[in-house]
Amino acid sequence: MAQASVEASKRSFLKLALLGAGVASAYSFSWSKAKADTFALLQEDLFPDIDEKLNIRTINARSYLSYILHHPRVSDDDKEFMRNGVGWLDEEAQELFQANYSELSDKKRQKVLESIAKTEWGESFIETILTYLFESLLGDPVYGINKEGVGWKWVHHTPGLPRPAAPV
Amino acid sequence: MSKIYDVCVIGSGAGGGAVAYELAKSGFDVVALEKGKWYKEEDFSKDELGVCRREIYSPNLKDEYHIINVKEDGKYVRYDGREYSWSFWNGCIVGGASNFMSGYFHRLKPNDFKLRSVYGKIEGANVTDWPIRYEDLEPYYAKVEQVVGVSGKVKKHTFLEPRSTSDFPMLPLAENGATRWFDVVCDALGYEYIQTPRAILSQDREKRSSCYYSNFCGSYPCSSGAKGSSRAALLQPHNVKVKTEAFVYNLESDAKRIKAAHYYDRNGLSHKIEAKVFVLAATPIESCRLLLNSKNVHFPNGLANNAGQVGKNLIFSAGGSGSGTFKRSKLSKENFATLIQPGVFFNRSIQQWYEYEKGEKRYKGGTIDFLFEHANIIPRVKRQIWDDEGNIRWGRELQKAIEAHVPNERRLNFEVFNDWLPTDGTFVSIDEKAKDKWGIPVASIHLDPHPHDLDVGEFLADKAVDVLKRMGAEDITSDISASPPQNLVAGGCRFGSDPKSSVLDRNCRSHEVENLYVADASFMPTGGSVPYTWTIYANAFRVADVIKERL
Repeated sequence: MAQASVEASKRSFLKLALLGAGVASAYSFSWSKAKADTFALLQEDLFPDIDEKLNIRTINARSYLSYILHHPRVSDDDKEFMRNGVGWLDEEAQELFQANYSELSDKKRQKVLESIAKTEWGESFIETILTYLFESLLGDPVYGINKEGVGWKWVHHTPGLPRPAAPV
Repeated sequence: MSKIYDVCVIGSGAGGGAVAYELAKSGFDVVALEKGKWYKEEDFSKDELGVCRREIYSPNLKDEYHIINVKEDGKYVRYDGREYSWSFWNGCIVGGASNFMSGYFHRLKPNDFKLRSVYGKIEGANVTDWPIRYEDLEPYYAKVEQVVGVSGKVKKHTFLEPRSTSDFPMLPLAENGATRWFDVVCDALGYEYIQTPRAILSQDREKRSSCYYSNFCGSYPCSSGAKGSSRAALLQPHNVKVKTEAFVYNLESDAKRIKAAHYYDRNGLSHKIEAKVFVLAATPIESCRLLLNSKNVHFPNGLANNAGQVGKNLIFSAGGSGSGTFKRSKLSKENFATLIQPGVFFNRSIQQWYEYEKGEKRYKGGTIDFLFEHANIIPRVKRQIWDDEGNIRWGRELQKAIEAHVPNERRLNFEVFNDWLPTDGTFVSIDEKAKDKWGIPVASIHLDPHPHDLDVGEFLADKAVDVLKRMGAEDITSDISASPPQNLVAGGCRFGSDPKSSVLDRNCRSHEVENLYVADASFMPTGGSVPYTWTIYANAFRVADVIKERL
């Protein structure tokens, strides 16, 4: 039962655990700098530097993800999924290469991503991280992201007016 | 002695706003109770993150949510909206959902008022004629054109409905040059098209400015006042009294009349409003919810629900959408520049198959609207996450796909509207176990659509795809589904002559509670094959006239 749940869908797995189905390998999350660093590395792997003006740092993706993980309007389900997902990413890295994700070479990290992308949870996890990454790439700079509209310029986008005066 | 208003209106959207405005303008003492806040034009921006992704104008689902039950393999499967980010909220501020609409306005047509008589019974569907006719509503459609402001150009076509005025009060909004390509194709195909009427000002009015072609219309509240929300068009310019952050949780009644509306203020304190007449317009789902939560000894099944009809025959709009993509590589430099010109609208509709024949049978069809894909950039970029085989991609491969596609294409969408047939299996009830932040049981929506809805939708979508192909669009998609749109909800308190099978009489007054009227879309027994808002506004003005007579 536990193995089947892990392979099928991490989101469903979380719900089963919450409902007390007693799945054996429930992942116990604890936030740490190491986990935050893994997140940041994952973001770079999913969206490599375009140049010195457009990269994860200029769009402030790392801080933005932290903002999202504490935002009152982001569902607890999404937050829990992302937090646990980074742990499952390490599990997969350990399974394939006997090391955590952040300890692996570029090539091996790609192999880990390719492996999880074949699973429902992994595909959903990559999509979720990319979605919030795109928010930091293309949202209004008033949020401390998308510095000087670098993301907009990249895709030739003109934002609507009026622009927001403050983040929500 | 507490104040007794002439009229208390619950909800300030298209229905509630129109009633409150009309009665206040006529000199009656009116108060509207609105759960949300009052925003003005200067408060609004095109903040994609705040408005569209965090949905700041809708309730936080942790506080207020819906339970949705979907019929799957003969049984309802329950979904807690909080866990699936699924709700039927559509903006809870003064003016309600009318702030966020795109304002594509179509009237119902004469046969929409008598679907049962004209097209016959459909097995498994509760189609019934309306207790009023098109002629009863026509003067009010015309009133909405003037008072709310509808721009457009009347063009004769097979299914043009009768009009008391020759044309709209304002010329159509400015259009993108690509509409000429559409027109040429439709002429060649012999397809009748019209310029889509819009509830958006194409010229300035006192206290409201004309559209400034922001390029971000639908889903955003309007910064110029051009969009015909009840807030901008009716309540704000005419200073109608609205108590904001007032959540009505109970309607207190005796055996025949409502005595008071009880509401919580922003601090959770309870207050009551007494009035001679109460008008409920909280959106169909929430209006039904309030009635069902207002049980008492006289109405043990919910207020105005001794006949067991409240919540029944909930409808949405059937249909779906599709798209075609125009690419820089396939167009001349000039044509691509025309295509990507921002701000100006596409505004084309086809109602040629509002009725059609298949085999030897005559069917009620619907409307196809054509419009550019929304300009919000994040969904357009996010789409590139999936390759053509549906595999996820990331890294440099994803970036190359974004660079190749996003700046070099524009999508033209189509939206199909056809009747969502009312069925026994689609209704609103209360989930006693699920409560909102005030401790009030939430609405439980049950969904069991009729298969006929899909047949009609597919028929219309095929026509739309035909047009896109002839225009030279690529990557054409079509998605007709039974998925209920959150912004096109009606029914639940349908009007009719028979109190055993309807909640309201022909004037939208409750059969059972003599001072209760319902003015949102819940009065509709069938929806027609058009977006609902024009009809909601028109009927609300009609109900206001009835109430004026009574007072």
